[in-house]
Amino acid sequence: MSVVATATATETGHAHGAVNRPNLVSVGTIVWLSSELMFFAALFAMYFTLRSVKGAEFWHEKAHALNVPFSSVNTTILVLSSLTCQLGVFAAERGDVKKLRSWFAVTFVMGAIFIGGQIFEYTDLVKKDGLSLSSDPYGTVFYLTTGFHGLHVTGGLIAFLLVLGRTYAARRFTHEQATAAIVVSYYWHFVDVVWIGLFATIYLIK
Amino acid sequence: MKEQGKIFAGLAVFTLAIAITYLVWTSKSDHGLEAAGTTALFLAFGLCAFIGFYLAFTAKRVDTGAGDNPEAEVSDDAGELGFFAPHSWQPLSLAVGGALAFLGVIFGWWLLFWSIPVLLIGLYGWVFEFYRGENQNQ
Repeated sequence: MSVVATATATETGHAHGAVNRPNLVSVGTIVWLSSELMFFAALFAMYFTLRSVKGAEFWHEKAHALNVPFSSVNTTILVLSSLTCQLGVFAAERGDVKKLRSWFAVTFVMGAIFIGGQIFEYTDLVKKDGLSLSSDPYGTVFYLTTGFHGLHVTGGLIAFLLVLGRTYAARRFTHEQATAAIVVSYYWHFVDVVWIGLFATIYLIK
Repeated sequence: MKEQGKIFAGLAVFTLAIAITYLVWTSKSDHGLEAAGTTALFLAFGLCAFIGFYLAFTAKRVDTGAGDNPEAEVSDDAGELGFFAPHSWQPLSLAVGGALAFLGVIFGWWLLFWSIPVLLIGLYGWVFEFYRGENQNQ
């Protein structure tokens, strides 16, 4: 019997349970992604400004060089990769690390195909149509907007590799790795949605 | 979480109103629609709506924090926030690699040849710090 009252035995006076905090990594990722949205806002603003300065005629003439069917297929692959990524997240939430690995590997390959397609498209535009970063204002905004998006996709691919690497390095599959998988999927969906915006603006509306 | 969600939802409504006003106002001016500001304002609405929606959605899903309870005490918010590295050199090596890589954009691409390995070592060290070696806790 202790004569000193211990802290655990002390009544706190009110009956609330422990607070349930949202995962700080997820909240931080969302806040960061919203700032990424503003980064792309600058790129969109640049695109629209140059379009209004150069005029619709100049724009249409230049945009004519784009290979829309090819890019549509590429876009479809990227959109579908968001689906496989989400299936990987569902597996991670169940704690099924094997399914997570295979879905993330599929997503990685699809993202890599998208980047490969983009490089193919760039090569074609430079060689056949003479459209380059320094050829004219249209080339500048085209390569800056799609190029920065491509860099983001590449960053996502590296992130997938790191998540996969973590699942192999860890002794067992923990909550922390599931969190990593979930926030990488947030990023991937974000990059995907930005591409839909870019694709609609650059390829469809022109 | 609920309150923070409301703050951002309010900001979203405000930025949307400003964006629409700006769009209508400039398109009626002599110079025509001003594209840069309109885009920035509409996507600023996106920024606020994105965070607001996420906070409101999360508040609904994971119960509420002490901040949403008028009866709560400050001490109710005590507890574990998450895992934070006690001390780590890895962000420094990652930042040095990143800084050198961006200097490559300014001074010449050859610098990337030397900075990318530093960047990769920093990234690897940072991501796997608690997955490999003496600090492993995963």
